[in-house]
Parts: sequence; C-alpha cells; structure tokens
Amino acid sequence: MVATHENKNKYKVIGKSPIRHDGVDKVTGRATYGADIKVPGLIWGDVLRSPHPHARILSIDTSKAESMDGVFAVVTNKDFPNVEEKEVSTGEDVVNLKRDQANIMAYDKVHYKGHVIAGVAAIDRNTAQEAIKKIEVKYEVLKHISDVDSAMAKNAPIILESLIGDHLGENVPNTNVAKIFRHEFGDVEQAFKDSDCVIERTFTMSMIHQGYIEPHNATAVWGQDGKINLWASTQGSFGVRAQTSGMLGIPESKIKVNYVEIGGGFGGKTKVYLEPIAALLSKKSGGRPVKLVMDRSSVFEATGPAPGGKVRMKIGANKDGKITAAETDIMFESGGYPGSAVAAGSICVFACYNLTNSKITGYDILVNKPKSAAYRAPGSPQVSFAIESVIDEICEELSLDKLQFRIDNASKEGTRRGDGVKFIRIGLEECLEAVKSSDHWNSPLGEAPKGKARGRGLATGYWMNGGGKSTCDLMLNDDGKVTLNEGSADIGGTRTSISMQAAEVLGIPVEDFHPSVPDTDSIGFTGVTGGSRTTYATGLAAYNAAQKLVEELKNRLSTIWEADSDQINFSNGTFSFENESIHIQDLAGKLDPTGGPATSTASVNLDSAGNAFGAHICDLEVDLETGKTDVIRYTAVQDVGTAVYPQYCEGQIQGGVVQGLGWALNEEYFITEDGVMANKSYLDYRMPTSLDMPMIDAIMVEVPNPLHPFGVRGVGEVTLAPPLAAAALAIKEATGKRHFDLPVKPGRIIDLYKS
Amino acid sequence: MSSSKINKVQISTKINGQEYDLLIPPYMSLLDTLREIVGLTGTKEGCLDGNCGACTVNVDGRIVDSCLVLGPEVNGKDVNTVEGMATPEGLHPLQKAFLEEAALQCGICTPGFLVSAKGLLDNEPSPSEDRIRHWLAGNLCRCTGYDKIIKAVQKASK
Amino acid sequence: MAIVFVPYALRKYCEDKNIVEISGKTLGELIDNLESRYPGTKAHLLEEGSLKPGVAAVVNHTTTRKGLLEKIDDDSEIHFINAVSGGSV
Repeated sequence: MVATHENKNKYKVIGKSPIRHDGVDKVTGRATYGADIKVPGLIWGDVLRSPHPHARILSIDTSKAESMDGVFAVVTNKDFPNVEEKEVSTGEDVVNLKRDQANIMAYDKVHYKGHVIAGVAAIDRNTAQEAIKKIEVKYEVLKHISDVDSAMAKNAPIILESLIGDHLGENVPNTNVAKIFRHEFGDVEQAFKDSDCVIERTFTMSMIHQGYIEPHNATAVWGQDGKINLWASTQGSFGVRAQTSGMLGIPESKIKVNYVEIGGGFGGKTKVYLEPIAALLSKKSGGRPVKLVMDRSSVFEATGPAPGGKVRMKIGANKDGKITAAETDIMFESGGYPGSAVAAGSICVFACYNLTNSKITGYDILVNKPKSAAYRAPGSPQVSFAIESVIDEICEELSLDKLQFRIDNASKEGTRRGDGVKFIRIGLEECLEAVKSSDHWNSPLGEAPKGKARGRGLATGYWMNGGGKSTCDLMLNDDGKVTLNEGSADIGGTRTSISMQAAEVLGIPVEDFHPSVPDTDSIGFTGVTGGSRTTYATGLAAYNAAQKLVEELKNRLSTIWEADSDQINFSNGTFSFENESIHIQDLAGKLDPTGGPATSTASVNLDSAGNAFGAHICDLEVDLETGKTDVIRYTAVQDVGTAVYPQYCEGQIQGGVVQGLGWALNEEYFITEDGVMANKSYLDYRMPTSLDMPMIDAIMVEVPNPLHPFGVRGVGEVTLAPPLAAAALAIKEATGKRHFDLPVKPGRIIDLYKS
Repeated sequence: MSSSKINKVQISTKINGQEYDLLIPPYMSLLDTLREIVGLTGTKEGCLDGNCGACTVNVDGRIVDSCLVLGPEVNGKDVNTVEGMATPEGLHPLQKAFLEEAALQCGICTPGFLVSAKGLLDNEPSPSEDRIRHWLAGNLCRCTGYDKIIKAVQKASK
Repeated sequence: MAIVFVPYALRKYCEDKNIVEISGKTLGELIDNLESRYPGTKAHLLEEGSLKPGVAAVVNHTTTRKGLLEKIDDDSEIHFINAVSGGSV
C-alpha cells in the first residue's frame, strides 16, 4: 500500500511493478548462484578451524594432509604476503588489511572459535574434509572473553596484542577497547536537573546473525598468466576484488570477479572470508579451479554477525511533553578484531528526536567472538531498542500519549542528529501522521483468549542511507530494445528498479530493457549492494546515462533533420522538430548512417543524505503460562522517498520486519562457559518461519529525496530498526513488565511476569 | 581416502520424468547427486541438516529435504525438482504466481518453496492461509518475511 | 567564515570549544587554516594529503565525496565524522 504525498501520476514507469527481469531464471532454478558454478577441472577446498575461542598457535603441521591421496595443496597464513597493519581505503570501505588477513586465516593467535587456520584443496569435497582432519595444530589455550564487561575488566586477557586503543583521542595500549568516542552538544547535566522526569535504563542484547539462507562460497582460478578469476557470493564484486587484491598483494587489474547471483547478504557478505584462500589454493594446485562452500555452523561461528553488547540510556522530559535531554553509552562487541557498528549506532540513536542537549559515548570492544560485520542498518536496531523503550517508559510516567510525544518531538528539516549534522528534507513527521491515521492504530487490540494477554507497541527508527560510486552503460539496439549493464549485485530486483529509471527517461517500456550485471572487467566501478544505496545511486547512474543517450540521439538526428540538436525536443520517448517527429525505438533502426550504434555511460559518486525513517506498530499476544508470543498484527510505516518498484520496496520492508521480530523474540548467540556458540544451526538459532508471522502491512509514505531526480531515498535497512522495541513494548503492555534484555524469549517473559 | 577409491553404487532413478542410470558414492546425498552428478543445480544447499528446506525435492509424491536423503535411496523412485515444474506450455501456476506477487527477493529459497508448495497444492488445491503457513514452515526465507510467498500460493491455489 | 563542529577528541586542541569559525575556499584550505589557528588538529584529520581513512567530512548536510576539493562557502557548516560506508560500518 502506498500513501503518496507527491503526484505520482506524472511517471509512466516509476511506481509500477513489472515482472523482474531475472524472475523466470529464479523460479525455474536456472539462475546461477556461487555454489552452482561449474568450471572444467574443478576441485574442492575446505578449511581447518580453531576449536578454541582464544588460543596462541604454537605450531601447525600440515605434512600428513599434504601427503594424503587426492590432496593438491595446503595453505596457511605463511602463504599470504606481509601487509602493513594500518587502515586503508579500498575505494568504498576502510579496512585494516593485516587484521582482515588474520581474520580469514590466523597466523599467531586465534580470536574466536571457528577462526580459520589452514586450507586444503582436494579432488572432491569429501577428501578435502578428511584432509583437514589430518592437519595437526598445537595450541596454548588462553582465557577467553565472552562479553563487554569481562573485556573491560582489570587484568582481562588482551585479545589483539598489537592494538593501541583510541580512547577519546588518547592512545591506550594493552586494552580490549579499540575505540571510545563521544558526541556532545548542549548541557545534558543541567537539562536533566531541570527535567520533570528522568529515566535511565541499561539494555543488553546478544550477537545476532544475518541468517542468509545461502552460505558463503567462492571459486577461484589462479591462471598461469598470473590472472585470477573469481566467482563468489557477495554483495559487491568490486569489494571482493579490492579486498582480495589487498590481502594477496596482487594488483586489482589482475583480478576479475565474475558475477553470480547472491542468496541474501543483509550486510554480512561485504567482507571476504573464502576468496583469497580459494585463490591461493588454486595457485598452489597449479592453477586448478578451487571451490569452497562454507558449512552452516561455520557461517554462524565464523563470519560477520551483528554485535551484541550493552546500551545505557538516559532520557529527560517535561510534563508538557517535550524531550529535554538524552544521554547514552553504547558498548558494542566488535568480535575478535576492532570495527563494530558503534559509530553508525551513535549517529542513529537520537536521530528521531529534536534535541539540543545530547551526549553519546561509544565503545568498540573486542571479545572472543567472530569479527562483527554489517547487518541491515548496523547499530541502529540495538540503539533503537534502547531509546524507544525509555521513551515509552517516560510517556507512561508522565501520562503522555506515546504517539503524540513522538510527533511533538520529531526530527524535521533543520534538526541536528546526535553527531551534529543537520537534516535536510525528511519524512519522519509524515510517517508518524500516517501511523496516526492508519487503520491499525485506530483498530482495537481485540480481546485475548483465556490465559493470554495482548499488547500493542509503537517504535520509530532511522538509518542514514548511503551514496557512493556506481556505473551504468546503455546500448540502444537496432530493434529499439535497450541493453543495460550496471555493476550492482541484484539481491532484490534492482536490475529492474534501475532499468525503470532509465526507461522513465527514455520513454521505452521497461520490458524492452535487457539488464545485466557484468564482471568487474566489463563495467565501471560500482559500490556494494548495501547501505540502501542501490536503487538510489545506480539508479541515478542509469538516469544520467539515459540523459546522455538522449543527447547523443539528438546529435544523430541533427544530421538527419538539418537542425541543431538543441532545437530538437524530446518528450515521452518522441523526438520532434517542427513538422518532424520520430519515436526513439523507431530511430534505433535508422542510426547506421549517422555514426553507427548509440551507446552511453555514466558514473556517479554520490554524497549521501538519503535519511530513512520508519515507525512501526506491533500487536502481540502472550501466552501467560508458557511465555509463547504470537505476533497478531504488524504495520510498518516508512518514508521511502519514491517507491520506484512498489512490490519489491514493500517486500524489503516486510523482510526487515520479520528479521527484527526474530531478533526481538528469539534469536541469540547462546554462548557456553567454554566461550563457544551452542546453537549454531537453524534448528536452535531460531529464525521466524511462515507459521510464526502474520501478514505484514507496509505503508509507504513518499517524501521525495531532494538529492535524486525521482526522489528515491533508499529503503532496505531502516525497516530493521523499529521492530525490536515495537515487539518488546507490546509485551510490556500485555504482561505489565518491561524487558531490557534481548531476546524477549518465553522463559524471560514468564520469569518477569511471575516475579 | 578419496572418493575415487570407494566402491560406487549404481542406481536407476527417474528425475523430472527422465530415466537416469548413475554411479555414485554410497554416502552421497540426494542433494549432491542432483547438483554434482546430474548437474541440476536448481535445488540449493542451505544448511545440510534438514532445517532450512532450500534443498526440498519431491520423491514419489512426498516432499523431502534432499540433504537428508542418500542418493542410493532413490533407486527405483521418482524424483521431481524445481527444474521439472515448467512445461513446454509455460511456467507452472505457482511459478507465475511467485513472479506476479513478487514472492522472492534473493531467490535462493524459491526453488524449495515452489517444490514444497506444489506438494501441498497437488493434494489440497484450496488450502487455508493457516494450512499454507503450516505446510511451508519447513522452508526458511530470510528476505521476504513470507507475506508475499503466502499470497502467491493463495493466488496459485484459486 | 565557515563553521566547523569540532570532533570531541579534538576539542582539547581548540580551547575546549565545540564550534569554531574558520575560513577557506576549499576543505583542504580550511583544514590548513584550522591547523594554523589550532595546532595539532590536522594530524587527526589528514593522512598523506587526504582525509584519513575512517574520517568523513560532512559539508552542510551531506557526506562529501570530493574530499579536500569540496568547495566551502561563508555559510558552510563542516562536520568530521567516522566514515560509515554504505551497508557497512
């Protein structure tokens, strides 16, 4: 459902939902994903992983594996070149190559259970798995750390010995706290003193996995000419190229990443884990193609989950319904190496509220868990849970309407975020008004059956959205069809949402477009499909390429019509000058005498200020005997800028909601005393199934983004931020008890309810 | 030892209506048999322990997780995968409905859902929403939140 | 003069101020002028002649991609924040 604030009738293509171009391939099983790749002479790889969460590697003996029948090669970190331990830019990301290299194959210490130590290439998958078992590693097991408090305790074992922590600008060695930073404006101390009500709570949350159904995979061929061909499940082929290049010390120009479909990423497939290992195994096997497919338990234990941690939240407000001050400490687990989403979380935490007094302190803390990576609005879900819960409590304390409180204090154009940056035109107020007038908000909760109770929760959330680099090439074929190449991995119909934007400009039906995602040698640099940037940035590249194509065609026509190209009009796909007119698809077949094929290309590097806001309503029923929860109704209101491809836009929102409900109600890394994840399978890492969820209603509010010609804002991420609090607050209303620890699982619900 | 040294098992099976005679290691799963030996990669590997349903196929009218079935077990049986759903006349109504209802985002779970849903509709042409949700609870999707998948199955079942 | 929001960790170089006024036609020139007025700041912002990896500059309301070449006006507002790249940290 789309509640539009701007006149969408002006668009011919934007706002429709055609069948996606890769759809038939994907419903017939023809689409090629990374693990489907077959290369002649393919052999299989596997990796040896640490059984210990924290240990020093004393020795690695690979001789028995090397001499095993059917084994072609064994690699350890010794096969990687030395790289400097410093931060470098890869063109779209900032990485510390030495740490990333160590993360994918340890050299002196293992920092988490499942940390890779060696890799093997063998004639088939079974042989590779058997060979792995023959590698002998001697460890000195060290005391492990599984939570932020232990990491910060005096005399805590130090995980990354070379780390010099940056604590508010001071260099601090011998620490597990990689970074402490602060954003502070106004005077929170005084503002709290002057407030009618101040509430402070501490929230805890567990490490969480993105849960994509397709495990990581990589296939590599290291040719005798020194060129590397890669196929990998990734959100960004250029990112794979850059990281592999950096870790192997090979120029990017010698690496080609071939596109394959990706089975879900959500941010977790922006870092490489297997590609450099596959490449080295291929090299050592004499150039044989080597494929590695990660097993599911390793995906949980050893890729890049979202950080858990602690958030202390203190909010002040007055009886008149105005928020006065906000203060928070955000402590995130970065995992075995630095770099959690705490910086992003600190930008999001107060973004929904118009504040002049705010203080945010963020901590990036190492623990013996896998190195965290991005998960859909990284950092925002955790901090949204905290602030929305306290706001709800303040409203209860002051007897204020919780929706009206958010409307009265909503961020708008000119409001400053917690890091001081001012908002341009945003749609939070429109979202809140849409909640107010929604059928859900105005419908009664309904009577719960005997033994159960119902509650309704409301929560808002924010994500800043990304910009960055994208490229699009267009070719107008003789028959009037358009070949469109763009570099964005298609995780959710973006071939089509990007084509639609070019189609809108050219006046050519989107069904007449043939979009594809080429390899990294065949398309200009395009950043990762993530950050809610793809339909926005690659779409803008397509828009620009289409505009350029129109100019090129005007130039061609100026030779046919004897007019200057700036005298020629173009509208709705038709060129005209005086009495002459021709449709672009007819002109396509007449171009030879004017100079041959007509093509265009455009690249962008966009400043980012998409700013997405969401406000969600969750109705939930709790069984007061067992603690089981049922989500009975859910509405997600989100400002999408302009819903280019409404069905897929809605699908993104719905998907994020269900991930959020899983996070809120059941998902967690259950870490044992031995520091390992006990529930590393889909059976026990319990994500929502179709039976757990109702239909999810999405109300797409459209407040066009001033930075994009079609107003596109970016939609994929913010949807994960509100559900955690929306569900927890619904449980509060149902049971009378507030929950500060995630997940709000049945055992916790009953314990608190009965206490 | 490498699989080339292990005595293989000969099986005769029908896959998507076509007869196959195969020589496979006795420990090879039906999933790997389909993907690696027969070359049908439409059926996907998600977890290898029967919890995600991405590997769902139909064996003699029963939907199973092919990662939990050994290749030799389908000797003499009828196996149907996603590749067998469309006919020369066109897509199966479920496949069409999935496209029309946008019931996929990344598409990795789609083959499993299609085979599962077909297993339902072949026997119960007009299931309720609750029945559909129950039947499909063995197929995990992380992208869509299930809403459009359920709507697609409802559309195909009318 | 443009307004520079001083990152918390740099306030000690800026007489504890959280906002300072600095002139410059480009971001690069502005940072040089910032260093002249408040020594010690530049080393935290630049590395080998560009913005340090991990540091992003926000001019007015958007994260600039033009780095030190970004044009600055008298009513520009400049923030230096942790680089948060798309979809990632």
